[in-house]
Amino acid sequence: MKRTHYLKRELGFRRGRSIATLLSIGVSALAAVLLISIATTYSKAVQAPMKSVGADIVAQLSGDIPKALEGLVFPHPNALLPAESVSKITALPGVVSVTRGVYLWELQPNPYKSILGIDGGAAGLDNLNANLVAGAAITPESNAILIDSDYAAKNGLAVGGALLIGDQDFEISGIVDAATGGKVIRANVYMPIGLAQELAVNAPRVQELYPFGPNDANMLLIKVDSRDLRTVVEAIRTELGKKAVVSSGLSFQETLDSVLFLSEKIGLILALVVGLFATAFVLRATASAVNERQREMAVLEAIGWTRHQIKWQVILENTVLAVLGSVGGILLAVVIARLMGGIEISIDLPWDLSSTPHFLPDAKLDRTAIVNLPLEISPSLMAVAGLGGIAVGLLSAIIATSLKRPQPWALLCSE
Amino acid sequence: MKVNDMTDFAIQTEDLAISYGAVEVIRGVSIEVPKGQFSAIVGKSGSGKSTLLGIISGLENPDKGRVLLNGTDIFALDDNGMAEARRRQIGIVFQSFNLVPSLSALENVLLPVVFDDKMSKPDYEARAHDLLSQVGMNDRASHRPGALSGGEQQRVAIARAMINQPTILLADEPTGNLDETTAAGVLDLLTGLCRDIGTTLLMVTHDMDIAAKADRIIEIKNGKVEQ
Repeated sequence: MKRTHYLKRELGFRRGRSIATLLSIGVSALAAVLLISIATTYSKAVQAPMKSVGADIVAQLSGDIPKALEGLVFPHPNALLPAESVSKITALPGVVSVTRGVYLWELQPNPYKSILGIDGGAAGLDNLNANLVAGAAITPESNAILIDSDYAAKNGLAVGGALLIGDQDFEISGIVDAATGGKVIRANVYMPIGLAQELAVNAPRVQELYPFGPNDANMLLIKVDSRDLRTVVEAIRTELGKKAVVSSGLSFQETLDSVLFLSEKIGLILALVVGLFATAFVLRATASAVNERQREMAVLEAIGWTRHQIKWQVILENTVLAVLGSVGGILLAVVIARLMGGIEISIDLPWDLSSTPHFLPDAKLDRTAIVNLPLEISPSLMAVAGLGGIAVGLLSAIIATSLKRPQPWALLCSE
Repeated sequence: MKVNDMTDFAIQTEDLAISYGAVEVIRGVSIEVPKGQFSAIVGKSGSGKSTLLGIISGLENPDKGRVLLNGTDIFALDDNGMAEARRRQIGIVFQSFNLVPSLSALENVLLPVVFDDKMSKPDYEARAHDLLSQVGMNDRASHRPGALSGGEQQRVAIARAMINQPTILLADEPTGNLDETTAAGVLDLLTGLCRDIGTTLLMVTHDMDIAAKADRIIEIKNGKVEQ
């Protein structure tokens, strides 16, 4: 007979204790993995809005308020970006691509709408076209527009219809679902940048503030090498000066820092509390099992086992339970994560990235980006949870077997 | 008494003493148990006879004195040495059998040799089956202690004590929990097995009829050997 045979028999014989230990280690591993994974997923949410637009940085410049709030205007954070600055930013080391945009509000006498004219490419029209829910895509050469699905529903607009902007009617080519895509740059109307530039050139309230030309832009969507993000952000701020409005994953982090801090800490604290309870439970269960088995341990000593061998037998039993419990808990966590699929996180965008005219009650644009992130359990998290569970089992057994025991004969003798 | 270091004796004790608090349980006990004999330790309940056996087995530490088993001072041994002495030289049979409840009769018999490599595992298993046959328990080898009667458990405990063919068998009231008929059978078995392989048997008993069968009787009274 081998000691592993005895171990198997013992775990099976004390089934109740074995199951209780398995469950407590398993549940704590499960809870720790899920809680930490949810907290980690929340922390990844800061990058999601920028990723969904295909850009790492949105560069804007704060400007002035027009004398009269009428017709087509530039929102306050969307002043003209000097062409020279755009060229310099495009040439910055680490910059992969730059997509230009023209952001406009249309105010009275027409009903309010926000308009985004944008270049072609992955961060521009291609991204919008990918979110089409009806109609046809537009190209940089199109004369037609895309409209946001919420805006279309609210205003009874459909594909093939027309929408009045300024004094022109634009054909509605398609409807896009910008809300669920986690769009940073939300607008009611999307069009090729050429059309928006033309609108801005002909808009008196734009021209009274800025010498906006047919090739200018008031927003840049910039893709950078992630290693250079911070450097590029700083360089853009320097280039655009004090009025620069530079949004990136870093700025989301700043905005959401307190929430992230809380979610990460709460996740960690809950995982620790669960772990502590499990440790206390397993320690108590092991101590009580060792206490129950004092006589058996005395028998083992009487028949020629060393104290070291007896101690290791108990430690081995607990370690086996801890390994099985940890592995079971982690596997269950992976299954639950798969079943959950992901978590939907709603993020309030900074005003600069979702500028709506707050002075118009009916012009509210949803400032939240809804991000669906897969709940991922990293191998390192699984390893830490597994090792933690095993450590709990191991430590409990070491402590329980180190407690002072009566002399063996006192437990075995007849008198 | 001066301890004779020559090994004519399986067990020698010198001036053993142990107290529990203010109570002196063993007071200067020196005995010699010749090899191959059946010796009985008798005495009233609480006289210290069982405690003396505990000290001789090395499972109870005396306050003072020495125990020599086959000439070796067991309290001078470390944990490994003491365990090896118990595994290879001593077999112990208890009043309450003390079988491991999770293991079958056969597994209980094999438990002392889990770490022993004196023989191969199949050889140990063959010996265990042989011993179980000798004690009339081979047909119940797969039963756990919970499914065995007291007499059957004691037979398995005797087989366990004999697995390594010890030179010394210590028995602490081995028939104390058994009815008269079963007790007689167990006693015959125990003495018969010891005689067959020349094992020294030292038995604690309060039963004078059993003690009468011993080659030698050591009487303990108030923690001392009664001369």
